[in-house]
Amino acid sequence: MRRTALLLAPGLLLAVLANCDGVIGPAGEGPSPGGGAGAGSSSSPDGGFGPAPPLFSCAPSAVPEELPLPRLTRVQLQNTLQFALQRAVPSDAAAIWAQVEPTFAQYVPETITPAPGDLKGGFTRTNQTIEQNQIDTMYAVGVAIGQALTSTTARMTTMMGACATDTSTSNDAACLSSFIQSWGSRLLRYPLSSDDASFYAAIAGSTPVDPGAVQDVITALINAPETLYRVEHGTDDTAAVSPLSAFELAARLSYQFWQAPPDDTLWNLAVSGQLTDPTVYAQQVERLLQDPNAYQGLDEFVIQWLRLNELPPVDLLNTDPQFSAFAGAPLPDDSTTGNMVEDVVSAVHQAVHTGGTVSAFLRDNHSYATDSYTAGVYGVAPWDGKSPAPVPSSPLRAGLITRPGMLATGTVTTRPIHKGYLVRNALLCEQVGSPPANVNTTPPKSSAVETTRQAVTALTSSGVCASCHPTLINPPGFITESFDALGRLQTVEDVYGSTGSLLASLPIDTSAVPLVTPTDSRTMSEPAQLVSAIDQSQLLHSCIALRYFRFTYERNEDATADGCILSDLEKVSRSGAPVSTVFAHLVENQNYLQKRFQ
Amino acid sequence: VSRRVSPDGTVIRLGRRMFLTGVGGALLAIPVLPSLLSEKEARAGTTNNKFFVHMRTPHGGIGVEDMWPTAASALTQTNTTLYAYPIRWGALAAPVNGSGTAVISNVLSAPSTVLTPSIVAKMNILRGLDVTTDMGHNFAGALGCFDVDQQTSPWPRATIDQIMAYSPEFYPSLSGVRERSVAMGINSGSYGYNTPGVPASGVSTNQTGAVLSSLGMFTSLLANVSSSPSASARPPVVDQVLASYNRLRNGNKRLSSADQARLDQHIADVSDLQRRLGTTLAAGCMVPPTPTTDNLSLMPMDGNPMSNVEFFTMVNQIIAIAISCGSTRIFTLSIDEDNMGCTFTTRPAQGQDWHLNVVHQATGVAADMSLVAQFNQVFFSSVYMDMVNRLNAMSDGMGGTVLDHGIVAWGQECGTVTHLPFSMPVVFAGSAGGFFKTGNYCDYRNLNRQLSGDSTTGSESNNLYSGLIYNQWLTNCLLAMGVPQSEWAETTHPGYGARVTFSSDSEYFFSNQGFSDTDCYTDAMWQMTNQVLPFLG
Repeated sequence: MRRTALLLAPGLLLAVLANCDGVIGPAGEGPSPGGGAGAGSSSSPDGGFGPAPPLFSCAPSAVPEELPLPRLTRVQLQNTLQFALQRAVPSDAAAIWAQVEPTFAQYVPETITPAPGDLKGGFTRTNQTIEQNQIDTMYAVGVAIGQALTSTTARMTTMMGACATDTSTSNDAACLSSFIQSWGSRLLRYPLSSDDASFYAAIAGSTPVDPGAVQDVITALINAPETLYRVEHGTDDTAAVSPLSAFELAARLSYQFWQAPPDDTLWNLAVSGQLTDPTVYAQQVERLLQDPNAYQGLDEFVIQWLRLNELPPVDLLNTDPQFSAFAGAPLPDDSTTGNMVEDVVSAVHQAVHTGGTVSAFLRDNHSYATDSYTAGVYGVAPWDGKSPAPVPSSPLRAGLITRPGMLATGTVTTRPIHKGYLVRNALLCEQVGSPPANVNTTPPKSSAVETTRQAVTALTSSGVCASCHPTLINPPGFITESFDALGRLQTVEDVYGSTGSLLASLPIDTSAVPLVTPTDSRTMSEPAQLVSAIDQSQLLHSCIALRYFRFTYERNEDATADGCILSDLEKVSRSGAPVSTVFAHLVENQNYLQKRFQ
Repeated sequence: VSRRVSPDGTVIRLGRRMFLTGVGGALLAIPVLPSLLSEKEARAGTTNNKFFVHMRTPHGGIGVEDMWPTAASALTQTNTTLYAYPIRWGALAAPVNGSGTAVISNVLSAPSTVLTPSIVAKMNILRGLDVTTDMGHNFAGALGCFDVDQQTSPWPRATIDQIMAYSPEFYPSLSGVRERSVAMGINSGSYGYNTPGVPASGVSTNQTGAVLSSLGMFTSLLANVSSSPSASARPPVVDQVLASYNRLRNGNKRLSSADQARLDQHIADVSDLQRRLGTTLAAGCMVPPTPTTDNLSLMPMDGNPMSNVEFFTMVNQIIAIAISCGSTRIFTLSIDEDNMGCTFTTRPAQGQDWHLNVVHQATGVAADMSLVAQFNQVFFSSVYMDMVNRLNAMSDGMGGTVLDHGIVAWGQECGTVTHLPFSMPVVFAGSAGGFFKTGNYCDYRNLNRQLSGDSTTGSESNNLYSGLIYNQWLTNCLLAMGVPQSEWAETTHPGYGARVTFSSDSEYFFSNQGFSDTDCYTDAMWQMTNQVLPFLG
């Protein structure tokens, strides 16, 4: 079994590898062997530990890869189709989508594939494969939308104007051409040339505004390459690296932040060419980021980064006597899981809107729960979304890692291994080798004589498990054992039998050595200490840079080729810049504004 | 409403709709004649009319006492020359008990009107086929892509169904073929190439698309090409969609070569769509009226075994006719009890509850093991056998049945112990046009190689033995379907699929007993993976 840090500065890499081989001993056994100069963090004046070495370095001669012909994701496609419907028949758009949605449901969601070396997580965006199912489904969707939009005279009139339904035939060709130019350009996200318009108009044949003809035109436009992909030609026909056009930039930005086609403002700035002005571009980045539509992109990023999509429904076992006894009254309901996730993503929203830094996001201990159940978990009143968010009274609520959405399991027992791996991999960007494929994947359970921690320890202290679990994976998870499987504070671990009877109340132990960096062998017992250590290491700052790179560039990184982009973003993130600045910085990087023709 | 009683006494109520589509698929099958080849063509073997149906049930090892025939008389023959250890077989038998249930084993049992002697004579039960690597969870392993715990496979391979689907030998002509293959499920457990049919393009990291809707399958496989009345005289717009891609691909706007390669892939897919949309069903194909009900209307169905069964039999009736008509000849089913809400028992999946609290406990807890057995017995009796009987009820016009031309196979996510790859159960019916002998119970285990059932994580089983290599079964499927080795050749062995090995973490299965995995799965055995499995040739 191995453990590796990503991409990584040589000193840190060696130190981390040393850890995985089990070189580092238990707490209190002296300095760890991996702690040579340049490895791990160093002591800081406040008694904590300073930043770990940067994870990324820039080789100026390195040439980043270019993702060829990016495909819109399923989410982006859905938003694009709804955008198109809205532009065609605003008052009927929702009804038509409801009619089409079952057909669109056949579009297979992208599988999330972990990046090489990661065991879990990943982003749907990085799955860029082209599948027959996508082509088949989009064709069926195109036909269905075409049928729906042309099914009544009223819709035809709304969509194309009176010229489509009046008695005159002399204006029919112009009517169709105008529709293609206006509606089609927005759908395809560039102003169609006369050749383009003629190509699509020819599909209609000799009866340009016949419903069947228009239906076919719509089907073809929805299935056009420029609709399903972000087709980028650049503005220089010969150079190896070409600046993107204003329309290509508009599409990149809009899908990045809003997961949707450019809105009118962005479109008009592209039409005027102003979007290529760096000042205007930066203003638009800021506008897009601060708009609530940005939650479309932001939430997907945060949910997949923090693997909140894996949180099972916490009301799943409500009818189980053991779970219901554990949960008590009130029981969670079918909205609770979503509300817990919302609390986490709201913390990111707050950071973006208030100029919060990565550190502030990590340490933010406000409750953004708007529902009574999740707020009750925090022990505060529901947040109204406007007033200052309440702060739980317990100092154990130390920020991100103690949010209910990060702790809940949907069962009666906590998951220290899951929590620990999440800290290691998602927050610190470390990689830990795979468990044996035949490992018993049943989460260890507490019993009348054994806490969850004790059960986990017993399970993972021998054999191949022992090389990583006791020192690396389990400890960060143990430190938040002061919260139960619903994210509630606990001072003892109550163990219930299968019939719901209380079997035991066992003392909990939250003391552990999380080894946030290889040289930081401090023993910690409170989440705030772990949060502080993570913050001081600045590894989260580096990690969010890496994860946001993957999300934005829709591919996994190449350690060398992308080193300059990553190093640049890492510096910004570690500088104490607001989260929004970090996000904006990546799309303002020169590499993002151009296309490399390979 | 009638009632069916499973061997453990569970009563399954059968509704009217289920009756109409019940054993033999009589209502829909009667008009379907024959498999759309002329007798002359078929007898001359000038074309391929074979079919491949594979159904995979999920995680949850069926205990050896439940899965396999237990009668000592089941294995009457022994061969000591084919391999370096004795292998055994016997004639497959399904004696009928006092309740009218024909019983091969606890799981392989069904009413005697379903599991008839003539059907039993067309079946094979294979025990002792091992995937030679760590399995854990594995949706695609039964078809040949061995991922580990559903992560990206270290040995990506196109699964056998997709190799067949794009084989020019399997489909020498696409005339009348609406879909090369149909996958039912949420996760299909099927992988193809990035550019379908082109190995050089690499194996896709996405599973192939899968559908759940019986009505959707009817539409794509059997219904007439739909078009609005006003558009009926218009050329198919898919032609223009294809033209738009070619226009971009071959135009004068700048694209990178990588952009063009992706466009080529899309163009190939649109071309296939274009072909299918233009396909008319073969003359003589008797298509029933469009069903008025979709199986999706049965959802949610968690904890409702009758609905679970009906959900799949509604699909069976579509697929059986489609196979008979030749509008597809490949169907795979991948059951995901969690996301489908399907356990064939009254205990619902409840998300991960079934997985974590039933399946993961099943090796050691009798009640949980019984639930796993019940799941699989109901599936076998009411879903698998339903498909088998439908195909067997259709004449091939040559004195046989459609079933005789292909195979209906049942595979599982793991072996008879949850998470482990030993003795992956294989049940199949049909001889694939005489490629396989049938009516056998084959036990390929090496009883001289009992494996250690103890690991650091606890006792796993005392019934683990090494056997033959699962790749050989997959290879047999390809060969039976007429797909030549040149289309799936490996460099390290003559059979299909990756020559996988166990990780060091799993070596204890062997080393605890004083040998190694290579002692069990020898190079000589790997060099025989292209041979017809013992007793089947």
